[in-house]
Amino acid sequence: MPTIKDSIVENLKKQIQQFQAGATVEKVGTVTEVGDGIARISGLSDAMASEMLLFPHDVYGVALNLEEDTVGAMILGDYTEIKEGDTVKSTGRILEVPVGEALIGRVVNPLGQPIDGKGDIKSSSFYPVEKIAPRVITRQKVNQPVQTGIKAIDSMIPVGRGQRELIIGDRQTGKTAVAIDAIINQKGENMICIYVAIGQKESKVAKIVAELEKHGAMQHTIIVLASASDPASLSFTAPYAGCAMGEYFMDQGKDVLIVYDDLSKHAWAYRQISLLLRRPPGREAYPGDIFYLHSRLLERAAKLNKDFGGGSLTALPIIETQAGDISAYIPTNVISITDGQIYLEADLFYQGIRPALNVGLSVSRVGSTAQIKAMKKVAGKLRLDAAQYRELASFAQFGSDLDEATRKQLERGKRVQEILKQGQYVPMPVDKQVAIIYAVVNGMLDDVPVESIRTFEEKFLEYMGTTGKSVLDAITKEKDLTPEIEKALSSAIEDYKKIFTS
Amino acid sequence: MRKLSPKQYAQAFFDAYKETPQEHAAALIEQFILMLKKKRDMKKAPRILNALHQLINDRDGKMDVSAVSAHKMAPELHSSLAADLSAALKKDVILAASENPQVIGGVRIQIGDTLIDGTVRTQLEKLQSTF
Repeated sequence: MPTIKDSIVENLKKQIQQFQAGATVEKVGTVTEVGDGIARISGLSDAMASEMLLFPHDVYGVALNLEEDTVGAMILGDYTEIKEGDTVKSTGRILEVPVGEALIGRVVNPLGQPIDGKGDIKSSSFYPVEKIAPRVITRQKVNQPVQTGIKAIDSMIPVGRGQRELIIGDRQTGKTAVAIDAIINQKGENMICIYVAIGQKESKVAKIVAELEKHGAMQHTIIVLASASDPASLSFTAPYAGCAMGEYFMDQGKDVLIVYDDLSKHAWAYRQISLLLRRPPGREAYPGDIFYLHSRLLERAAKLNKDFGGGSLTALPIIETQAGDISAYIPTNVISITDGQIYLEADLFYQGIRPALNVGLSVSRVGSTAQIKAMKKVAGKLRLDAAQYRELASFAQFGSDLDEATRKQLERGKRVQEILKQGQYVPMPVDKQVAIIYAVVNGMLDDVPVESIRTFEEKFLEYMGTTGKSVLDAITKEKDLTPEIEKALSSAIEDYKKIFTS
Repeated sequence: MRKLSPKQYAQAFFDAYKETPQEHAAALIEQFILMLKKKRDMKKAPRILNALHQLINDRDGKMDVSAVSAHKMAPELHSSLAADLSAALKKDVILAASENPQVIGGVRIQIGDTLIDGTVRTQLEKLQSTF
């Protein structure tokens, strides 16, 4: 009987016998300068732009600068083992990452290697990291919503599938929280989510992974991590790698949501690499092609039309501003590229308005066409109420006696603001959002005290989930507020109000 | 002023030398070295020399090729390898052979940027990486 040992030896023998010996022909160069994650290589006369180069010890690099007799390359990995005089081989391949179903639920580095200790990723297909964005004929306008589960966003700043919506704000204003809530809410929505962490603390990413696992959202999520301790070259590659992984699913006709957290650190990483490669610095010392860096990344977000599979890639880039300055170089660049922005403000955050959304400065340029009709009907009034409240609130601080109409407007505004508050990790389905927003904008909560609005909301939605289930189901099914549904909804609200006040 | 590359220096000197009569050659070389000194580019001298060597080889239809083997090549093997390479590259090959016991066996030939590796060492490394 053959033992395991025998079969191993047999296998080895076979492999050795099958091994084809022969001379290899390669193009080589010599490292002339190395340090800080970049290398200068002489020779390699026919290297291509962004070609992968193989350094000793199986470290890869990417050729970025092609000069007359040297090549400037960034090193993806540990550069401390590379010495001057080492031989560098060109591979003839553009940098690529593994893609496919096997990546879902995993934490990988920007080269697609697993870093969560759950074993190898078996993937047969590869996608180039840098890919030209889908062309005009393959695209279609945004027509389906991404439900983030956040009332303020789904009602007033709707995001469509294939849209690029920027999340911008100072540190500690809840930017990542918005993105993570959106990912959690995609559970069961047939959407694959990719969270790209660029230069983030590993502790923060570990927390996010734990939170996603807790809410069962890791089953549809890939996390691409370039941590703060990784070289800048990995931070630079991370968003493109994540995007390539997403494009695979988009080409399969699936919907993908990708979060780039955050692109300011991506710009820093690229600035570092560029300065080390001695490219001339421009404004704020960023290189001249910093705009193209982000535009070519965000252009890869798309909604494909039926002939090309109908998949979509929705991008939620995040930008961290310094002291609320959205007119700095990188924020203005990314604002101009994206289809709208969600602006989070530190002041609002400390006032207890969370998510700390500034409704006046936040816009969505294309998402409203994708909103469901029911939401569209209630959101118009909501936006108006919120805008009027903002205007009056600052004005009303000075005078104490206000006329009846103004007072009413203010009271309504306060309730609207209460309704738009929402806790973290509690995304809300769209039917419930419609129900509660319908109640507030139609003045049905005007006689509920402001302090008890949140308890009212909580209890009311509980009530709707049981007794008023048929109304919610009708909204989900029709996606519209037909007169019948509207009547049923308002009577349900009145019914519950009686229970609440008694 | 823009810095000149060793290649540009070599090309300039090569062209100037071609046009200079034999008796002024020594003066030309001296002038070239003085110019390098004035421009503070003396540290580029070894690379200029290499580039010049390349230019002369190109003019004469010659080519430098280096070969590394584990043991010293037999003279007949050396000349037959040179002849084969000359035929393949259509150039007069000047073969510089050297020994390195670390390659174990076979030969590694470098022609400019191209490396033809037929050493036992590389093959063993490749075999190792298939497991």
